[in-house]
Amino acid sequence: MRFPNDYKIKRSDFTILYYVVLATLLSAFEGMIPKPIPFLRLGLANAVVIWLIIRKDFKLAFLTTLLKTLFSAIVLGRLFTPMFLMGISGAFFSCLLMIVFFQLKIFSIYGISIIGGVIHNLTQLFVLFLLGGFPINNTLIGVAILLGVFMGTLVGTVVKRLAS
Amino acid sequence: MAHNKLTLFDYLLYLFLIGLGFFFIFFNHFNKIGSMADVYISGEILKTIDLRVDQAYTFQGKVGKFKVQVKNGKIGVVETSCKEKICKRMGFIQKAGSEIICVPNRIVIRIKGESKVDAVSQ
Repeated sequence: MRFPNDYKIKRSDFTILYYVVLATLLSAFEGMIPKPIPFLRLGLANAVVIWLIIRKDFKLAFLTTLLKTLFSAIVLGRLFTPMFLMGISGAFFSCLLMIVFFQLKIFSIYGISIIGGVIHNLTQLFVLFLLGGFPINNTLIGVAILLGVFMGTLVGTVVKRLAS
Repeated sequence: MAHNKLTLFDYLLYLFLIGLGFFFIFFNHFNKIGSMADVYISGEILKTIDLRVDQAYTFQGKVGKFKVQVKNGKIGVVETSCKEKICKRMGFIQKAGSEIICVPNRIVIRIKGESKVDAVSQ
């Protein structure tokens, strides 16, 4: 029989907690900022994920991505709404592609970051298109790409400052 | 860290994505000028407007009144009851395929393509 005291708390247990809480706070905070187009986000929490990716903690990056989306949805009160579905698929695919592009080893933080931002926005638009009820036109796709590039550059700068 | 310097591929990626973004935004500007516009509410076609006749139209959207004006072959929103007024700021459109969208009112104004054929048959 094992008692609670037998479970050793490892340092890595705290590490994931730290990153998830940090990312959740950032994404919940930015969820409260009013935006002209509600589903295009700033991606501050993405900075945490990129930070983990450049440290080659891919598993932790994935876990942080999924848990931060889940927790921030709870905090903002939109769990299992279309917005949550868009958020989690966008976050998942942007994390996946950022890892792929990092492994190619030809892009810097900025390249990885803008890939993450653009893929996040485009995935959200695609999910919105699949859900229906919202007209998607090419202007919106263009705006999503440009906003992704802009925000990706911003997040890339933040990560660069953290890394150096 | 080795990853904080912009590489050649970064610049290429920037060029590609910014180019793609602007391409999508200005996509409709290469189209021909349309002469008919469809007004959709909640995905259903409500009215087809002739852009050669200057006239104002009023619709009942999901939030409230919605006024559309045709002027010099262009169509635009002049009055809307929604909060953001994004549709009003989109201005007047005339190119085939371009759209004005009001999300709160569930209204889409789309200019019909292939205007040349329509003009001949009429």
